[in-house]
Formats: sequence, C-alpha cells, structure tokens
Amino acid sequence: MANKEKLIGVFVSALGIAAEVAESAVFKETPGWDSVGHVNLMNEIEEAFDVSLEPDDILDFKSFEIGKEILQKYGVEF
Amino acid sequence: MAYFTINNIKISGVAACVPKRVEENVDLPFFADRVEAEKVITSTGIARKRVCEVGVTSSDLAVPAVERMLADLGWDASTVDCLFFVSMTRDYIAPQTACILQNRLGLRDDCFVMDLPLGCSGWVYGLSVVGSMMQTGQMRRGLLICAETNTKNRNPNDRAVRPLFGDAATVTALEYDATVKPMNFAFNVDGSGWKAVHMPYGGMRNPTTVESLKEVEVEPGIVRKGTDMVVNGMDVFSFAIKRPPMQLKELIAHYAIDLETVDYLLLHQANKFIDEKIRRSLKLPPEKVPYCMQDFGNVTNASIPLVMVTGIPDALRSQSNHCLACGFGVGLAWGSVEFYVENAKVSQLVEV
Repeated sequence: MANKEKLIGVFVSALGIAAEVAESAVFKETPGWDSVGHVNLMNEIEEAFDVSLEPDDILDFKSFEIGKEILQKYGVEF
Repeated sequence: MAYFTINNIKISGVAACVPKRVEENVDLPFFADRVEAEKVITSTGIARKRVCEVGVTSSDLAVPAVERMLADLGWDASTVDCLFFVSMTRDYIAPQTACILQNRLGLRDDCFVMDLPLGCSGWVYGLSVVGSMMQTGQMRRGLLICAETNTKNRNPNDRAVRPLFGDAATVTALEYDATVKPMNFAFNVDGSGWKAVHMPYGGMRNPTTVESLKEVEVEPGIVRKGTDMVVNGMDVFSFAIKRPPMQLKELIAHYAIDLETVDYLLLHQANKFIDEKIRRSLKLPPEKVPYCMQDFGNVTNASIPLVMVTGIPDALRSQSNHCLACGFGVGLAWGSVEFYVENAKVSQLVEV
C-alpha cells in the first residue's frame, strides 16, 4: 500500500497532475504525460524506487496500472 | 552491421565555436512554473543552450572555429587537403556549403570539399569518410566540420524540442600519420524510422508552400510549421535507449576491446536520461563519460567534439586517451568508433 501511495506521489510530482487522477493516468491521454513528461516520470520512478528500468520496460510503461506490473518485476510490492 | 578499420589517421586537434547568447531553460515560457521547468532540467540534464542570432548560420559559427584551430595548430590554410562540412542546417540547398567555406577559409582550389547532411551520428560518419579518403597518404591534412543551428529549424513553441537543442560548430583536424593506432568503426541504419526526426516541407518531396508556413498546434504544447523539424520524442527515445548501447557492445566484442583500458566514452549529448542508460549498460563509471549538455544542450552532430573541447580538454592535450564514441539519431542512423587521441591541440572555446 505504501508503494502505491509512493507511485501516486511520483505521478503527481512528475506529471503535475492531481492525485485523484493518477491511478487512471495513461500516456498521451493524460495532460502532461507526453514524451517530456515520460522522461520526467521515468527519472523520478527510478529515483523513488531505487531501480534501473530496462529499455523495454520504459517503453511499455504506458499507464499507472501497467507501471505497477512492471515495478513488481523489480521487487516493488503493491 | 558495417564494421571497418581505418589506419594512419591522427586526430591532431579539436576546436569549437558557440554563440554568446544563452537561453536558460528555467525561463522558457511554456512551462507552467519554475517547478515544472526544473523537473525537465533534472531529467534531461539540460539547463541552458547557446542560441545564435537571426542571420547567423552554421558556417558562420564554423569559420571562427576553423580559424582558431588552424592558428593553434600552426597550419596555413593552403596546407589543408580536404574539408567536410557535416550539417543539416546548411546555408543553401544549393550550392553545398563546403564550397562557400573553401572560399571563406582561403583553402586551395584543389582542396577536396564536400557536405555531408547528417545529424547526430554525423561526427562518427564524417570521421569515417575523411579517414577513408586520407588513409592512403595522398591527402595529408583534413578538416571535419560538424556545425548546426538547431534553433533555426525547430519551433520555439514546441515544448518537446526547445528545451533540448542548441547551436554550435566544431572542427576536428585530422592528419596522415603512419604511426598511430587504427580507428575501428561500426555503423547501422534503420530507414523505416525516418519519420522519428524529419522536416516534412522544404525539400523536393513536399516543396515549401504558403500553407506549410502556417503554425499549427499539433498537440497541447507543440506548435509547428510544416518547415519545422518534427522530433517524435518517444520514437527517438525508444530507439536511443536500445540500439546505440547494443551497437557499442557489438563494437567492443567485435574488436575485442578491453573496457578497462578505455579512458572515455564520448556520447552524442542527447539528454542525460538516455546517456546515463547507455553509460550504465556498459558499466562505466561517471568520470569516464563526460557531458556538456548541461550548458550547451543537444547540438546534434557537433556534440561529440564539443564535449571533447569543453569536457576533457586537458586530458586530450596531455596524455594518450583510449576513446569510444557513439553518435545516434535522425535517419535513423547510428555509428560507433574506437580511437585514440594523444597530445592534441584543443582550442579554447570560441564565442561569437
């Protein structure tokens, strides 16, 4: 649960969106989650969870929900 | 993969020229606030860029760099046997800018000159072309100019590109020298990805029209004319974090390069997130991968020589340096090279 809140916090910080919409955030649909926002988001996620995402995971990270699944591969539990 | 080796070519010197005008990313108008701007600066690693004035071209930046280089090397312009001008922001569609530079620089009329319209891979490709021409010794001295005024063909209201790209010109001076170690190259191209970075109008496929000069907001925060460079950020990003590190690993394996002996990996200064991914994939420590993007941004084909001039000038001047370099971008095209630089003339940065 703590990691979910942490991930929401990263989405809010990196994309400048409200916490209420973070869990429904989708790349290119959520305002602010463009290519620039994606680099910010990936950068902050790597720092917050102390992980180094593989290229394919960075490219697949297209929504909050998918992101959770990806982070679980790196040992982040939700 | 295209592998080949070039012998007998020494990098004798490197020089660069940038505009004096500095554009701070924190001041850009399309960021909601300073917090948003600072996030972009943190993730891209680009705090500011140099921006040339209206009317200043890539060749205008190149001339002072070449003049400084020739003076520092003690080379008379008449001793230069070939010049290559790598740029996607040439003075005119015709003639090639290299011809104009032959006259402006006072080079001989039997000097071999040529434009190479390459982007971010241009220094590595250019080095292979100049090196190939010079390695037999029939040409003894060559100049590889990599120069770009990226701020002229990118829209200032495109928030995906304005924070990233800057203007700069560099020159790499090359000499025939039968005693130096070989340069080892690897190249790849993927033309199916040409739309990742392209300028839709202004060429022969889509000539400039009145309509193509109208600005359109193609998505929130991204305004472009048809004659502006389109940079599809995610396409470039997905290419850049996968293919260049793969090629570097293949270069290392093919030429049995001992990474422990490599002093520097000189990367195209795309952005810090991408470049750090590449550095970490090769498990190189930060001190072996210098950056200049924080102060100059992504200057496309000029970025590898610019980081040599601004990032590691003392090392290049004073010791033998075993280097790898990798340029990657528009095309899509990417190239890597293993080379050595020893006791080179590295000029002070010229600002105009």
